[in-house]
Amino acid sequence: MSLLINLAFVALWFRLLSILTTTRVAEFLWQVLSKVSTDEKVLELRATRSRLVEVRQERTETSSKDEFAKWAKLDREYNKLKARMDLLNADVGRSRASLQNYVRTARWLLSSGLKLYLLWKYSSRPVVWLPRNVLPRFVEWVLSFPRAPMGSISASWWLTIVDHGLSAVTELIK
Amino acid sequence: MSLAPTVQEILDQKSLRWIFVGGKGGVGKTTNSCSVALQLAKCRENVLLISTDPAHNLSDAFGQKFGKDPSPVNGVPNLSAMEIDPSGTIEEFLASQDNQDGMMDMVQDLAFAIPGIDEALSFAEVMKRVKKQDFSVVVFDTAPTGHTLRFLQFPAILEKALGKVRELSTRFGPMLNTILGAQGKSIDEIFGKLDETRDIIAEVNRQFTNPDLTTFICVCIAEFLSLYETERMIQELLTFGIDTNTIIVNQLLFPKPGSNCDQCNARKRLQQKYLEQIHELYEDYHLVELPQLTEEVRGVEALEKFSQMLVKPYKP
Repeated sequence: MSLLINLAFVALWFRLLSILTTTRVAEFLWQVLSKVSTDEKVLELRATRSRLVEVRQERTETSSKDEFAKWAKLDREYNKLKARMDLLNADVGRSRASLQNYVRTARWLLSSGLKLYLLWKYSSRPVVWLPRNVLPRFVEWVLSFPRAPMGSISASWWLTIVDHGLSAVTELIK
Repeated sequence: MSLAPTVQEILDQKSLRWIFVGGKGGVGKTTNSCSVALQLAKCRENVLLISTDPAHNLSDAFGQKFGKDPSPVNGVPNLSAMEIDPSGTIEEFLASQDNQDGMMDMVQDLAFAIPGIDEALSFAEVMKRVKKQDFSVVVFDTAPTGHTLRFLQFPAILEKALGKVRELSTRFGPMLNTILGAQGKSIDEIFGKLDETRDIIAEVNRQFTNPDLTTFICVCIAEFLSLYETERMIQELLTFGIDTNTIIVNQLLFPKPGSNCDQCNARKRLQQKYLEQIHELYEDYHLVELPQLTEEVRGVEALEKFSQMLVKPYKP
């Protein structure tokens, strides 16, 4: 009985996890981490980016026809900052990619990995006992796949059924 | 403290071998490249002036026909000039390959699809001719399209692309060789030529990015667009690593005092405005200010007179 409910909660957990996709979680963590990071590259990137925005604004406000020298100097600074920023972005981008990898791995362990483990562990446990002689033998055999005793529903089928039910519910809510 | 408003430093720098004179938009580039060459001829042993502009502007300027090979300029000791048509070089090269068949065409198409290859080939041709006669300095009157130096951006790309083309044809070459017979020779010829070009371009790149050997003179006028183009060109040269320290501001108006020509005065005011900006922006450059003359500068005599102003600043 408890296995039935536990597996139902596990299915619910998987559903919730599908909302927290790798990209969303990675993005969120990245935003948080970059704000508190003391890595010099990240700090420099932030400083460069804000200076770039300042310079661009100043340049837009300067008339190239009336103050060409000032405009050109701002343009030169802008190009230099942009080149530096592109370089830093590439470096920092690598760290970001590896963060995404970590998140992806963790997520897999908590979803598919967990699923595989549970299904393996409870593969021969019956989850729900079917009433006898109601369904044809063949159907009973299929529902007990892979290793649950005949006449019961296996863990993998139960998870599928609950998942189906949950998606129907979410459709209704939408 | 600003630098001298002359090209004297360039004339004094004996180590210089390559001098480019460039500028877009009818600013007097050819007049100035001829003038620089004339001044150099007074203090160098053997000066060569080259133009890659198909419009034959050197011939017009000196009133003498120049061809693909260096010819001495009449009335000017130590100076020779030549005019080459870059597209002509490619056609000649292609025409000289006699085995025209499928394989050759394919390799040719591959090779000539590399960006900058036509400029690179024409430069290589120039270098070969220049090397034959030992010139102490070469002055380039760059083409108005400003693409003359584009291939310098590409030595790395050129290397990679050539490598790829080689790889492809060594893979398919032997197979096609057995089918079509002795095609290997013609392919090797093409690769020989491309490799030779690549080596020359690498050497050229080394020399052009050495400030002791190469410098670029920018010619402009005191108007917004020319200024904008000049700034863009200078930043591009910096990216390539080519030294530039002299800007010639041409066609400046000096209306007589008390002149009642409204247009001249208005234009002069505008030029003054931009001239101030030029001085502010390029404070570490030699800024040569040249006047607008009342007649076209053509012929050795007129060019001689004009070139004096490059070393002795004009006083209105």
